Amino acid sequence: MSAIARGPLLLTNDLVDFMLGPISMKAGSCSMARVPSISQAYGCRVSPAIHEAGASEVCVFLSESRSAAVLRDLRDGGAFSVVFSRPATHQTVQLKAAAVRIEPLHDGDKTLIERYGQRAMGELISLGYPPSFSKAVMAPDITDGVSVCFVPYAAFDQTPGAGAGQPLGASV
Amino acid sequence: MKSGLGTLRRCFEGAVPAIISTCDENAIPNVAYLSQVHYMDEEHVALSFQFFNTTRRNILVNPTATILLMDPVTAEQYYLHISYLETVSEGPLFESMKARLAGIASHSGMSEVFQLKGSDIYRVQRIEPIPGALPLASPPTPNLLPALRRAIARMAACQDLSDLLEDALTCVAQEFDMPHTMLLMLDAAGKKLYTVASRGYHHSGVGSEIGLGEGIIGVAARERVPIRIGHCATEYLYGRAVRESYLQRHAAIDIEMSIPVPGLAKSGSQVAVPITLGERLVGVLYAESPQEMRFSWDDEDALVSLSDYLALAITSMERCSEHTTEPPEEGAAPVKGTGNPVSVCFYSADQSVFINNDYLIKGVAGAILWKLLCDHSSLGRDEFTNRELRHDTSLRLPDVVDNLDARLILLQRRLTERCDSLAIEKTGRGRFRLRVDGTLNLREAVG
Repeated sequence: MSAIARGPLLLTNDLVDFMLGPISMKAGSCSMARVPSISQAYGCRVSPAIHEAGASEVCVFLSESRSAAVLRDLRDGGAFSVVFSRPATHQTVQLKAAAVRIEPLHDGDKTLIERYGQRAMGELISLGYPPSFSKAVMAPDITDGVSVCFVPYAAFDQTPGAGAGQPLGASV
Repeated sequence: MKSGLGTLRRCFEGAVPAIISTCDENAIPNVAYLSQVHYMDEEHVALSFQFFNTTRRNILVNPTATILLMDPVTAEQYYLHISYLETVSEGPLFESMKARLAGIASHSGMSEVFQLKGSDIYRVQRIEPIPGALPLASPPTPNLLPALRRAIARMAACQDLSDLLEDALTCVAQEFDMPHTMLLMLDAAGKKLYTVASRGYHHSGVGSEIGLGEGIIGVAARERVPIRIGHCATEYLYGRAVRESYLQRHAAIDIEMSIPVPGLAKSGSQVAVPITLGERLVGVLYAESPQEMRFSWDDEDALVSLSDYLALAITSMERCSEHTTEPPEEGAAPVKGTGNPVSVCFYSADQSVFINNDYLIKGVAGAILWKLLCDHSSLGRDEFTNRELRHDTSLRLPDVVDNLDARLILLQRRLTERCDSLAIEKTGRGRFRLRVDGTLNLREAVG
């Protein structure tokens, strides 16, 4: 990790399109005692060029009750990691951030969560998973959603194969 | 009953990938998908180690990790809080995970990518359910425990090895709903398994051979470990493995002589269970299905328990047969040598027997048949006992674990399937009759 620049990362349009697609999302953090935490995430919002040099901010949606450990670790100042993976292709990308801002959902975020759920649910159904299962996994009724907002400093290709582990994007 | 890791075994079937979170010495987290979480026992899981990636680096500096598991039926989620112990790169656990990974890789188009480097063993510190919506309904699953009880009761009533082997497969089909099965025994040299019974195939394949380490059956036998694959893994399909292995070792003529191993044209799931008694490998019980993910952990438990009983029963019958010879029962007088000529050629080099120029059998079973035919021809004998065969030095039976009874069953079934003129009929415990319908013409060829 030390070889990776810690500056804000420019996300390519292709990468943003991928992040907003029919994907599975998992978020992770770590306590000060170095005990890792993990939970499911339910979509994201990408704000274009909020950084002065053009880097984007990503806000990932979590559930307070379903992501209690991750949110606790983040509130304690833990670093953040989130994985985006498309079930049909196994294409997988991981973003990393040193710090996050946790805030209530914005207007329109509930709609984004619902749209994400529908897309991701459809992906699982297309792979043969039962509709009820696909909905329970990807599109549950999230009543306690929060945003975890961050400017990533690194992105990695995690698709199984020769390119796994390669850094993506360019630092500002 | 303790509610522990075993209650989550459905989560380890691979229907929904698990995810692991680790962190490095600077508390930087890393999240990664797992190809395989293998249930070892109530306190341990093993994860597939395929790449030298960040997860790998992290657990070597900070052994604490958290796994997110999902029940593929109810959609309930769980955390496994785990601690890395060690990595093994050979032996039963490794081979079992390697075979399963081959199925997963084949299913996901990752055959060139997924190669198991090791099995990372973790101690499970704590299981934590994740709050969420009400679990989805779980459809009722067959209760295999009473099915196993009925199967063992039926097998316990068998009087001889032939009935036992047939009934074992009948029980697996009827009680466990597994219609495509094979039973293989280890040969006396301990190098090969040979099929003594099968069920649910176009041809029985009785007498077909699989070397230790070849395909899922051979690996399960060599490592003495049950192997269950939920998808078609080409490299573990025994037919192909056997053929390729043969081609490497033998001339083409040997291929022609070999009996094809039975098998489904499109096998979606396979399970191979070694039949063992203590350290001794007796054979392998194998089941397959055209349906993917057909066999569950519970199915594997049922087959292992049935195989444990089978090992005891087979061994007991073998010991009994060594010491028991019943008086012959009254039966039809054997047909004397009249009618069509039956040309039998015996090749002493590999003890193979050809009848009317068609290959029948080789090895110990071939030598037994040749002895019976010679005695019949020169001495006019029709009645024989297992005991006299066991003490006949010309048959080159090993002193320990001679497998004679299984070889006789194999010979009897091959004759039934391939030869109208010759038959072996059981006439009592440890006793049988050779029926010859035709005029024998015996020829021994050297080489």
